Amino acid sequence: MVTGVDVGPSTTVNIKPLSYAHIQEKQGSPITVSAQLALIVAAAYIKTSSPQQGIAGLPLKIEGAAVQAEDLPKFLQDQNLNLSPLQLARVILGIDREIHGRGNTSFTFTRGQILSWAGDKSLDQHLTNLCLTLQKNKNNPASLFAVNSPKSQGLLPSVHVPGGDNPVAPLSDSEEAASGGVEVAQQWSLIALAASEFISPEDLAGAQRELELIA
Amino acid sequence: MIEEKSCLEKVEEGLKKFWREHGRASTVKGLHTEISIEPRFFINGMVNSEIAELLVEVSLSKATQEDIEKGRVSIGEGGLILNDEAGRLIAKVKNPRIISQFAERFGL
Repeated sequence: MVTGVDVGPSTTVNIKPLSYAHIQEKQGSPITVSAQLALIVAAAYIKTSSPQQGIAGLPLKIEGAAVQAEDLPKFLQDQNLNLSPLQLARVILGIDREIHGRGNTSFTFTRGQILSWAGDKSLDQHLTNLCLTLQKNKNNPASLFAVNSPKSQGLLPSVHVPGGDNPVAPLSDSEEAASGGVEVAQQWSLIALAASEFISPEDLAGAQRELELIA
Repeated sequence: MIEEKSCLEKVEEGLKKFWREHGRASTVKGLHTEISIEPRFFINGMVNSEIAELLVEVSLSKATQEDIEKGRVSIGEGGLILNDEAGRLIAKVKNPRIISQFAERFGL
């Protein structure tokens, strides 16, 4: 299964497709790509492409104005917003609504102001073209998404996602790192004690050796 | 050809199952997409503190009166201590919630 992955310092976000569009590769072997994943990849692709390389025909309506995909990088730049692919995907998918850019800029998206992708009958064709383009360029969607993430490059802007209509409680890296209620002296013994039904002693010993070698 | 997984990968996979089994998975199900947020299990070679806390909680949930009597689990001023069979420290718990839950369970 193809999944989108965004890897942070202490968290991995997996985006798993639930529905699929079957896309025939030019050579003939079928591959399966989720339309929603393709959207996320599109977000990553749009974000990391120059305006000239944008994907024509992928419309995005924000604040009632249609913004073509190739104009999106400039649009975001004009708004002083520098979103990671994941953040942009979350906006496109309607998960996040309010985003604060650098400085005093903030921008509020509402679900109604974002194009209803599912209702766009031509979307499948756009996504098919997009996926074929990505394949042609030998880009792996998942790696494209992860590697080009500004978050992984330390360029994450300050983003505030208020509560309320926000189904995701994003785990900030500082929040994750802040959990300090336990001091571990023997981590392998602790794992063996608690998770013995999931991990064999041989694997534990081997993992310990591997980590020591890496260190 | 399927590459054989390293032991570390197997341990991470096991920890992932453990983490899901014990109800810490954070999943958002959209119309067509499922987004799950998972911790990284090792950070700089050390088990993620969030996972460590869960490991301790599960270990304590398995603890018996005998473990207390033999000193494998004890509560002192420094917090709750978890020792191995040989009396060596495995982990020290300072989280008041975990300590009080354990103390309440055994009437300590």
